[in-house]
Amino acid sequence: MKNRYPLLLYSAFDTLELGIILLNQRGEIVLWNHWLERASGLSADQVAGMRLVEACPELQHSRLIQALEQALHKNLSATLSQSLNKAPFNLFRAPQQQGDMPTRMQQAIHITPLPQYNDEQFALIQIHDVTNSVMREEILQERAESLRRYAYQDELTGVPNRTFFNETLQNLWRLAGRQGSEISILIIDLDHFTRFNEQEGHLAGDQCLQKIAKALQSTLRRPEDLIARFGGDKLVVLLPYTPLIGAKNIGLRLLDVIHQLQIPYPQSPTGYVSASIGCAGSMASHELDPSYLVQEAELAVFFAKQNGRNQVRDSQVPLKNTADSSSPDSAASSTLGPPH
Amino acid sequence: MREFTPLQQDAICEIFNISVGQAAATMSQMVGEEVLLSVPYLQFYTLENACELLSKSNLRICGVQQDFDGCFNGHAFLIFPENRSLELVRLMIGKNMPIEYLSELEQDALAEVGNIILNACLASLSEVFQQQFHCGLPILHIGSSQEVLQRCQPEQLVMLLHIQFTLADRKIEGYVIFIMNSDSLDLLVCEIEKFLSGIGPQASY
Repeated sequence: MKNRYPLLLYSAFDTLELGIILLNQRGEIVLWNHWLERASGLSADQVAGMRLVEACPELQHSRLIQALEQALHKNLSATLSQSLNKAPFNLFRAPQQQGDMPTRMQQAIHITPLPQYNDEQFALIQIHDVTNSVMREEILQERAESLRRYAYQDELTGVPNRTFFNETLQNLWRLAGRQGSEISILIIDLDHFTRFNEQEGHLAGDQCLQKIAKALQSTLRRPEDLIARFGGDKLVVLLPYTPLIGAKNIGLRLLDVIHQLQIPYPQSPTGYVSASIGCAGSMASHELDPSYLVQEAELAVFFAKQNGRNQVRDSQVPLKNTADSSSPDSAASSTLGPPH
Repeated sequence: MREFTPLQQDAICEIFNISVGQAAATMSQMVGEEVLLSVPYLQFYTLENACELLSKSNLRICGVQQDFDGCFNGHAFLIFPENRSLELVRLMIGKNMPIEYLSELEQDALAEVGNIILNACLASLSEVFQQQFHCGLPILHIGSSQEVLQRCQPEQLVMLLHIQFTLADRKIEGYVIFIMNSDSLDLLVCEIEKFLSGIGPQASY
């Protein structure tokens, strides 16, 4: 196509909202559009005829120069992404507000060879300003991260929620299955909590839950132990590498911690808020679903409630008359389900 | 189907190994960490068989396409299983994001990785042929192997190079494939033969 409007083409290049550089075979600047003049502070007259590295010394040894060589001598095109090439050109964006410092422009660059019919070779460099995309992406990533955090946190108590517990249990169960180790869980159900809420008010109920969750969390010593809100007035503790007997001991310690908090509740036989703790433990295996542990622990809580509350139980069926042997009023620290 | 003799195969693997080695050096410089690339072997397939092979272990693949034109013409692709390609980009950018999420900027990065490797391979082919190819900008496709390779003609042949990345103690396997007509392939075999017998002009390396 014969170009009858060379000047029109020049002014079109100058109005483009991206940077355009045209280089000849020797790597000398033939065209440097107005957008680049603004962003670099170098005028077209200043850089015309200069080699690109002389006009932009910051490009020395960069991938951009290698890619240009390939375009000029091997006819190969190149893409330079923003993530892998941090702002190769010294280009700046005009400050958004007066008094602000100009910001360095994030760039996405395309290089294409332009062979001419007379065998003369040119290369075209297009520079896109992707600063806004980069900033938008950073904001989105931060939001996604905080959403993820919120999605796993119980709003009231600040400990992880049931979703997080379920996922962690599944993962640890698989891991323990491979290692052949045991996992135990404890479900902590506050005694008469519905009544506590009704009589003392929901605000007091919330504060009580928060206090207990915090105290129990700081009692767990190993970093891999996890406490989570199971729902309502129930908390759950996940204890990897722990057999049932060890879990029972930890349960007793937690019962004692709740007692030590001495949250007054006149209706309780002890005068303070107490809890029934059900524990379950098993050797992890691929044949068994970890939800089995949760069912067993819930059953154990039921037995603990049946047996007078304020105690630690497992899911073994209680022997008859055991209620007599264990006083519901006895101190929390010494209360363990009756022997069976 | 046209097959290379073992000697021809070795020769072409060696040629590509030199060029991907240069691509690896470029990438090492960019990420500030050692990147190793190698082409252990190559195979030929019909387009249909290649699609089957590529979707065997992974339904979704990620392909960076560059079309080339010259005495020998066709399409070049760098192909990874989708999850591996994300892993590669994450390792290069150093971000720790959920693997399902590939942003626009990361897609650009992947297109660039493809561009570096494919350009290196095309450059060595142009050395073998002593002729230049005109080669377009990279385009990224994600989908089934049929979707990624849909623009190719069913009668075209596929030269498939296995490619192995080693980056930050991880090994990632992918493919570079050249899709071309059978006459282009005949030309390639002919040039390799010349290259081997030393009749043709010596390559500059």
